[in-house]
Amino acid sequence: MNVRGLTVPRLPDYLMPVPVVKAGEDIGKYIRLALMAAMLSVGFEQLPGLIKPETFHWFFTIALAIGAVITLAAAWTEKYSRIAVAVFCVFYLYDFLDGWSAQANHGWLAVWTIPVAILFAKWWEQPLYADYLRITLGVVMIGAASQKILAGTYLDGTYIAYLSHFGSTTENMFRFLCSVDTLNSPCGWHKFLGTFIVLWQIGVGLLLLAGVRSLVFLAVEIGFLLGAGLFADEMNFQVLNIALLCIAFRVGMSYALFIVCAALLLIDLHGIGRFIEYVI
Amino acid sequence: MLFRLPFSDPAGWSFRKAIIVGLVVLHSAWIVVHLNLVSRDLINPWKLSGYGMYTIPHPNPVLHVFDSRFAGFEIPSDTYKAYDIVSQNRFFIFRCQPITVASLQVFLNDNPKFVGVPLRFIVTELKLLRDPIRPEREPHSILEIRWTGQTTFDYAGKICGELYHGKAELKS
Repeated sequence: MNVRGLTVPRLPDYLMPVPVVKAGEDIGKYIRLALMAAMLSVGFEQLPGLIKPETFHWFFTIALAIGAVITLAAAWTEKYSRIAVAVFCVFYLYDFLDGWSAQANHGWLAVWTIPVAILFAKWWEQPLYADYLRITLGVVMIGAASQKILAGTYLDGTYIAYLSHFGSTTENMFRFLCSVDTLNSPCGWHKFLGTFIVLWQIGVGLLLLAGVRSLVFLAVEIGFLLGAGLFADEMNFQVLNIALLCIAFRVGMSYALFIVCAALLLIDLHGIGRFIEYVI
Repeated sequence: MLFRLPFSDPAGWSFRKAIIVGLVVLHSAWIVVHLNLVSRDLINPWKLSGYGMYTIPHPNPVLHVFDSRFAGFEIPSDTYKAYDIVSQNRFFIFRCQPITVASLQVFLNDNPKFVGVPLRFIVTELKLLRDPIRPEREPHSILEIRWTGQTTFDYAGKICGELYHGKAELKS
């Protein structure tokens, strides 16, 4: 890769966040991989409630794990993807609706998005499904920004100041920017961060609704989501968003990004903060 | 590079496209309704598909049970079963919904040792206060029960500034 005379070493294909599709290669497998990541994030979200030894026998847990692996693997194949997504949705919706009032927004977003794939025989080839995800994610971004404006805790820096002093290991990463006096009157940096987050969500939402499909936009948003996940110590929602974006942009998810997402979901089971504390 | 809007393949309408448009409209409308409910403090913004998480600390409602015979005596939470009363009240995500009579009956059936004991239920929530900015757990809802017979009791409570009361009977 040449940038104005400088030679920038090109990353190997397997390390690219966006799959590098060779001529004649089926891009569908990368798009199916993205939905697999979305399903995986949902599975990990529900996992703690499903593996309580006091609630379920160990046999049930093992059977569930085997079933989940088979379903996810089938969702990646061209022949069985639709039926695997349908099977997944039946079990997921049953579990989800059983405790709907306790479910997080992550679970709700999955309900709005993943089952719609069943409408199409080859959903990964359908621009209509990608459009649906794109518009839905745009609406969600605008909705999330509206909630922040309504709460009145972002534009004035209150929430960032709160997290900086009362948040968990990663949530207080911006504490160093301001003194403890920020609790009496949020400092400029915390106001800037709060305002930036709101404007970013509005911007991304509008760009998605407008149909911007640049890979640079996708890569930057993936980076932002990973950063936000690290900050909030919550990766499930971010992985789901990343996976759905990869489908919405019709480029799919590279193997490297899939491995990163799967690793983050594993770490997220106990929390990134605890992982960092353990390592450090 | 832009999609052709509103859909990449604008040709005609189909059953599937109608479903997709319907879902987008429904989802968008619900987010507006959710915003309205949050603005009136009626629901927990972290729940119910409105994407209001991380706007305030999670309220994390907690039910406390007090024995009214002894002023200020909170019964240790590990000495009674509270999951059913909490789940029957939808984990208190509907912030102005009084504790239901049915859930009280379930609680007393789950914990028969409290039959005949005057109880006070207090639900607390974590709130973000200012000047200085700090999280603080505050009472949000209160309910008292007073026994009028072996299996009958009166209850009175207050939530979101509204008083409510009634009579109920134990059901097995």
